[in-house]
Amino acid sequence: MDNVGAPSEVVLGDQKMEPTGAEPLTPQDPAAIGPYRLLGRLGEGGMGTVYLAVAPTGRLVAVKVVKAQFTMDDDFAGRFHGEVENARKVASFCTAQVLDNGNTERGQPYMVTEYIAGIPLSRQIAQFGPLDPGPLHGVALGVAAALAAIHVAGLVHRDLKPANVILSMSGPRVIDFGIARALDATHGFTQSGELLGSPGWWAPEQVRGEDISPWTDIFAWGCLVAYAGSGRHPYGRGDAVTLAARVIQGRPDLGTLPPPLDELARRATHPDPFQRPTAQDLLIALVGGSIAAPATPQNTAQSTLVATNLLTESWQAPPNVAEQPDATQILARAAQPTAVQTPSPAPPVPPAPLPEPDQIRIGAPPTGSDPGALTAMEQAWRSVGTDPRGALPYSEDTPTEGGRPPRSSRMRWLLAAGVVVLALSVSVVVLLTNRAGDTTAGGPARTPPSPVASAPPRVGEDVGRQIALGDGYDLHLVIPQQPRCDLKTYEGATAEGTFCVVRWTMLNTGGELKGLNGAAPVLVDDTGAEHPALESSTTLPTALKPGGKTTGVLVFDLPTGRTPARLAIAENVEVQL
Amino acid sequence: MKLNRLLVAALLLTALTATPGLAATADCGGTAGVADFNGDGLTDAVAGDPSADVDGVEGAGTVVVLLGGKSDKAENGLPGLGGTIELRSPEPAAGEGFGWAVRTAHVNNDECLDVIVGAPYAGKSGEGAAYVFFGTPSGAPKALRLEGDNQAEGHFGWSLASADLDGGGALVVVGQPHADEPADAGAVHVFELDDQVRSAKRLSQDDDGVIGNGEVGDLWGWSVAVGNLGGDPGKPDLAVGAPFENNDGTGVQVASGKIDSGMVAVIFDVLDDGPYTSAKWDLNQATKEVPEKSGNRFGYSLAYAETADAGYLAVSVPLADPGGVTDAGAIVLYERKGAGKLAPARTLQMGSGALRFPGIPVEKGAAIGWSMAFVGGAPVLAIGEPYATVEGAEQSGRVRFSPVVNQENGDTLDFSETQPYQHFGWSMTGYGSPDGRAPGTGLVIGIPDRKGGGAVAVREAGTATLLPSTLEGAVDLGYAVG
Repeated sequence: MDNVGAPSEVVLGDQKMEPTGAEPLTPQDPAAIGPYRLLGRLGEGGMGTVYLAVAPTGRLVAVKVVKAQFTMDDDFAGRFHGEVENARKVASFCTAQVLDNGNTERGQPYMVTEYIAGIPLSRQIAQFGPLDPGPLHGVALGVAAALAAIHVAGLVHRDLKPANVILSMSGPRVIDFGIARALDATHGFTQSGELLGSPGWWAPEQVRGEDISPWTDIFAWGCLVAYAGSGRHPYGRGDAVTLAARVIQGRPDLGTLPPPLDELARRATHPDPFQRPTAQDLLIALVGGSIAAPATPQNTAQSTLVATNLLTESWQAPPNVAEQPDATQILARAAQPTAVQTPSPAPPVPPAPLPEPDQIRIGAPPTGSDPGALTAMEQAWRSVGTDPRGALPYSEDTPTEGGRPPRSSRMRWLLAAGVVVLALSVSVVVLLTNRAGDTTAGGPARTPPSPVASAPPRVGEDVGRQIALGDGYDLHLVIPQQPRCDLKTYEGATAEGTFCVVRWTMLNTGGELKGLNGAAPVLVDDTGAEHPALESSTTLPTALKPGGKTTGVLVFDLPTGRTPARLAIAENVEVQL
Repeated sequence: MKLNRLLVAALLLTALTATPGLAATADCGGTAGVADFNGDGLTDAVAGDPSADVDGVEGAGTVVVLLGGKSDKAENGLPGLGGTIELRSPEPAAGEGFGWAVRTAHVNNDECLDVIVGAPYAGKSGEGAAYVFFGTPSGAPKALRLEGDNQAEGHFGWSLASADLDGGGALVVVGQPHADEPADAGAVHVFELDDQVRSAKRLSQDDDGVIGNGEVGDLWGWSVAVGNLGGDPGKPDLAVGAPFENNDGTGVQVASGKIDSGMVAVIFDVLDDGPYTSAKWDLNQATKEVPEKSGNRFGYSLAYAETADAGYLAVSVPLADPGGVTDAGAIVLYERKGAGKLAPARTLQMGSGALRFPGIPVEKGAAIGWSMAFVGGAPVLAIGEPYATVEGAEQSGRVRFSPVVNQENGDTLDFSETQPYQHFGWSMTGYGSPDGRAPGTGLVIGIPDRKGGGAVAVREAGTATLLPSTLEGAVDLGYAVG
């Protein structure tokens, strides 16, 4: 089952969305499933149908409904919901978080996950060719992190393939895990003998009908990275039987990959599952490479563009520069979907493609220095800073009517590459901690090398303030009150230090559906140490419809004696507490 | 300037009825000023904080009545200098947004000024609510709940308009812009009130004689205003803004034409039974001076005032790009002469005509007309531009004036308390109007994002006076003013 189907646009009333990959509903589709109002079809697979839907809170979600034929089996619903419950335990970074599950009026089980806006890796490669080393590393790392999270929760994805990796603004996200297993508890065949998974992305043991294990996913990871790096399928093209034979008979053709991906992919695709690395091994190896280098003060400063006036207070741009969109604006644009105009009788506009591969070469700095020597994030940020044209318009949905700033597909991609590193610096720590048997929910804090800027602290600047997310007029975040940081326990959990609870409200006062590309929220304390949000935090919405408002809390565990200073709650948005 | 907080002990309607002997309906007669909530002779106004915590109820929202008070510098008195009375929802609930919209009118006939409050996120699913709080010289103000049609996520109470009726009582209009069907097409609810509801009805673009088609996402009812716009003299007319209407020709369309270019409609003699007579303008029909484009949001805010022989309706288009300057904004000023019908009279835009300020640049993104209000006898249109950069402080916000009667240069409001991102001018009202139709005598200006939970400023002449919030739990004081 794909999260994303054929290219099309969803039209929500007047709100033409960013290309969501959704197709219109058919007359046979219900208007709603449970409390979720359906907007379009994201895909259909062997097991069922995936819809784009709106939750009662206004959040966009993906609802996956199992085909009626499977529900004939009395035990199926029970197994399904059991698996969904397991899937809900998976940490949400790098995956699509499971939000809900239930049964339709006709008794078909369904599950609800976060809707990830973005482009599937499969479409990206098919349309624009292989990834450059920077983004490739980001994808390898993001997918490995997702697998680590899935495996730590005791699950196996079983159907990892490029179509199940969404390149979103917040980095690559793995979707569709955890439910295939409901079909059969021990191996990869359905009761009717149908091989689960997808041809060409099977591991040898899957084809042989042997036990499925986390290493089955690792095999797929190796193939996926090879495919993303070369644009070629490691087992070539062919029908399912041909591909199955190749999987059993020989090792995949991984092409030429940059180190350390070449070695990692080779080991991941070892015919013997037990010779393959674990997801956590992959993570360690990947962060041990160039990406693991801590953020320099310089690029930290760039990455923490504040919602308010830190930059503008300390710097006055010359008029000619001021005329150019600055990085803040570019980022805001890149993160902000805007409506585009399409004449009524015209066919749906296909989603805007990412630029041709030669255009998305990351970072090519004017100095001519070797891009390979830079981390993905550095490359991304250098490009932001040195592109004199600012944002590039979409090539296809160009009617940037109404003076709305044009978006940059290039920027989106660069950002995705950059942001994943940021997000992963948190998730990697969590996962590695978990493996070590440390049950600390949030994991230890990471201390950046130096404070962001020498500006004096601006305590409480943004509390109670409408902080614009995106282009500044519609989507707002409010931290209504100062964090409450005197709690030793929260919802049954006990703090290592002290819990800090930060309330938030998000509101769309505009007339269009607005998407939020949230990153993992991070609280920065008075010493500059960063703390990830705990599981007990409320998940930020993916999108809000017109008039939509949601509230929640973020929970952090701060060492005793520390006080909260700043909160990074979404991409490029930082709140001074 | 300290805002003394006068907390009325029992604000809840239930508590009130259970408290015998309270003079809940005490009359302001004889002592009341023209717009006087508590009958002390001084002019009052109101401000809403829809995100405030109320006794630990998160985001329930609250409204403060800014009681008139005198000072050395304000001999006529200014609202807020005399302390405040806090108004709360009869049953405060988390996140209901009480105070999202506020207005005043003389609703019942006791001469006290009454306060209308919208709470568009009230109810289990954002059905919304609206209340009238009756002014009183003593005791807790009595509340009357206005009933809409309880549509989930309709956000009844998003916008409000009111005016006194000549024969007593008031017309109160409550916007419900996210009302279905179709989705988010929008509706308004029209109430004729005194101390109770005399009549109530729901109107949408699909009613007989109401021009236009209810289309998905129009958000018709986003803004509302009442006045004498050219129907029968003496019978109120209603202006409705639909800033997210697409200019897509006649008939029903979805997501075509110029998206969210906006429109304004006027329903004449709105208290009569239908079919109605009505008129509507998109930006292209209202003016040729500003090119209509997608995302302009014509009809985002409305303001009305009248003099003895003319009526003025200001309709803003805050994200218009006059002169190619993105989101600088513009305003179309309509005029009704005598017994005629209203018609577009002038376009106000930065850098030309009455808004030609030699010292102030035309600012990209300033979004003029985010809020508007009429003041003074002539009258003068006050124009809020909360996103304007002032003295280097980004989004500190500004208010400018443009006279309506001639083309002479306007002026800016002097307010020295700049602060980045405070959004001075987010909301605005002319206080001191005796009937809600005449221009106000002074301005109340909302600054919801000023540090410390928001603030309001008041001004009759000269510089504006800042009234910082001392309200416990304040978040967005000044999000709405009335």
